[in-house]
Amino acid sequence: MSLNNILLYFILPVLSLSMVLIFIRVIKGPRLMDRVVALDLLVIVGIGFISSYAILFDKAIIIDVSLILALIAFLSTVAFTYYYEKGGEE
Amino acid sequence: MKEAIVIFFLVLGTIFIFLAAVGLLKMPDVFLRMSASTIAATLGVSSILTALAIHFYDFGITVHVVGTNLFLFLTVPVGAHLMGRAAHKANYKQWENTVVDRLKGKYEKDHHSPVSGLKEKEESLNSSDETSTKSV
Repeated sequence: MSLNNILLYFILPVLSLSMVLIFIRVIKGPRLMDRVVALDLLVIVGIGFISSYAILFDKAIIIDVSLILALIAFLSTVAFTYYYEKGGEE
Repeated sequence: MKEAIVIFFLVLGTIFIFLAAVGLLKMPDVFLRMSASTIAATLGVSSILTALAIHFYDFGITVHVVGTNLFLFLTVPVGAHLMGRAAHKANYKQWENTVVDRLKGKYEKDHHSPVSGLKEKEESLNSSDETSTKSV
């Protein structure tokens, strides 16, 4: 089993499956904060996805994107909760 | 040998992320969901990034990976804390087997400010002022 086979047949499919499960929670989520938690986790799984692609294609330049994505995830969470605490669910 | 270590870290991280997704789907409550997703996702992503650093074996990339890991370990718990506080303030339903809720009753009725006793003091001051003016 080479690294590329593991990546293509185990890592990327399982990450895709977990993304689908998280999307189910985004659609189901009874209230708003469930959806915010799920979207936060979705961005974090995206970081893992991008790192796996960087290993698969041997392109190290892609990992700059992961740092930016982590930053955006934190900022969006803070903004969501700030306005949620101020305004409410409407 | 290097490839085996990379594969080990990749598989570990992927399993952690999958467990986080399953926990997010199956847990009964916002707060439990949040704990499952945060713990597992942080560990999973950091081990995938470690695999990337071992694979490229380069100083600049290792610095990038360490920076991203540090940022994730600092910000993901902070974000989870913010979301949990917002959910608790908005009276989200808790699991029926929850044992302890130490934040219960610590907020005013409008759910925007913590109980400090200042409001009652102000009200009593105002009422005493009114009574004093009335008496005068």
